[in-house]
Amino acid sequence: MLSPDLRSNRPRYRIGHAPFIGQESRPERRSRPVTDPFAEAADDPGGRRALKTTLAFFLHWWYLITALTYQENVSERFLPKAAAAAAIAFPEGDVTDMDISIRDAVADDFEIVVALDDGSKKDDKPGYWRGIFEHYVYENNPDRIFLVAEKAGTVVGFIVGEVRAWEFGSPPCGWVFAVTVTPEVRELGIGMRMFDEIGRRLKKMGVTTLRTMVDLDNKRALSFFRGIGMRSGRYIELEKHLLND
Amino acid sequence: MKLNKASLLALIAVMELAAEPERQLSTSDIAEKYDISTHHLAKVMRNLVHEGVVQAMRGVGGGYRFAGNVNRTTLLDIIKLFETLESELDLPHWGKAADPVVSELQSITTEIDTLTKAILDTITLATALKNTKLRGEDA
Ligand SMILES: CC(C)(COP(=O)(O)OP(=O)(O)OC[C@H]1O[C@@H](n2cnc3c(N)ncnc32)[C@H](O)[C@@H]1OP(=O)(O)O)[C@@H](O)C(=O)NCCC(=O)NCCS
Repeated sequence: MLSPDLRSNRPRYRIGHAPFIGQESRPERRSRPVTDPFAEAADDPGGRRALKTTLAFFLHWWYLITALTYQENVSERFLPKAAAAAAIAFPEGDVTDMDISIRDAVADDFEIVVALDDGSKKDDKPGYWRGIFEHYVYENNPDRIFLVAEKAGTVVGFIVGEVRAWEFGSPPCGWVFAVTVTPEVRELGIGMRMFDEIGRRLKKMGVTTLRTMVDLDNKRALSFFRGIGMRSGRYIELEKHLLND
Repeated sequence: MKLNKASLLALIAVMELAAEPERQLSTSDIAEKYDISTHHLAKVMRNLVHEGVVQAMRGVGGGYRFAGNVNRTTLLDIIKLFETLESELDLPHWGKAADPVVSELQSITTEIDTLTKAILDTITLATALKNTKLRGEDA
């Protein structure tokens, strides 16, 4: 049987295309039973229960009306986690409407980049990124590109790549060796926007092929690279474990 | 690698239906378009309904509709409903498992299978359909 995640035809939410009340794609809303306060009043001469139910009745509608009125509230309650977080972070507009800007990384981005590089098992993450900033940001080497994606002054992703020539006997080509988007705003097209921009710049430098390497178990990253049009390439990675003598 | 017939028919039907999730198509609509056996496809469609990948719609003109999630369902998810993807070189009954020849051959088939799965399990229907569309535009 197909797992529930595969069965639910959950659309990928883009900001601005988020499903709101009335659209059939929204997840099931947990509705509370609406009691009719007036029907119950007859056997409640003191009216206390009627008062309580009336209050509950109004609270119920207040809940619904608030949900309808505020996009953030709707998003929080009815959208999946990632889309809800994104809707809160970017209350208006559409990621695809240039709401996200892509720019060259600067020294001040160091800490946020280290923080974004979350899942990595690097021993010395700050040390690793200091080295990368050294060569890809401070040196101003035109063959090396370090971009960040920014929304409202907050860096939400980065991508790093460069031109490599005659490595493995290959004519110059572009390499992307790191790309990350903060989990709250994944699957909204930001990775693709950064990839398009680095691709555009690398192409301007004269390369016609882009390469990358991904851990076999990183299904999300592999799906991402395939989703943006990459395929297995001409070079096969081989490895050998070096045994102790 | 050779996919079995049922997997192939399922991939064709699912891609055809997922390309336009609102559209309903009958078994013969799909069979005619791809020149395949209606009988064989009907069996595959029943399986896909059972697995919740497609929905059988009732009523006049009722056909099948895609019921999965194009952004999450991979080619392997569909294939796995019809076969376990094991390399044809899999030799479980030849000699002892510990035999070095057998285990060397098995380790090679494992390498092949791992790569095959890594490809088929990272191509979502959305990605395959996007590429299909690009091919259509190029043609
Ligand atoms: C990989 C990563 C950068 C993708 O960023 P993203 O902003 O979520 O990706 P996008 O929204 O731009 O997705 C672009 C395409 O990739 C595919 N895709 C992205 N995430 C996917 C997922 N989880 N499952 C299936 N396909 C996916 C889709 O085809 C999508 O196209 P669509 O929007 O037209 O459907 C992000 O998931 C991430 O930061 N992962 C952790 C870090 C990492 O592993 N990096 C790679 C190794 S350096």
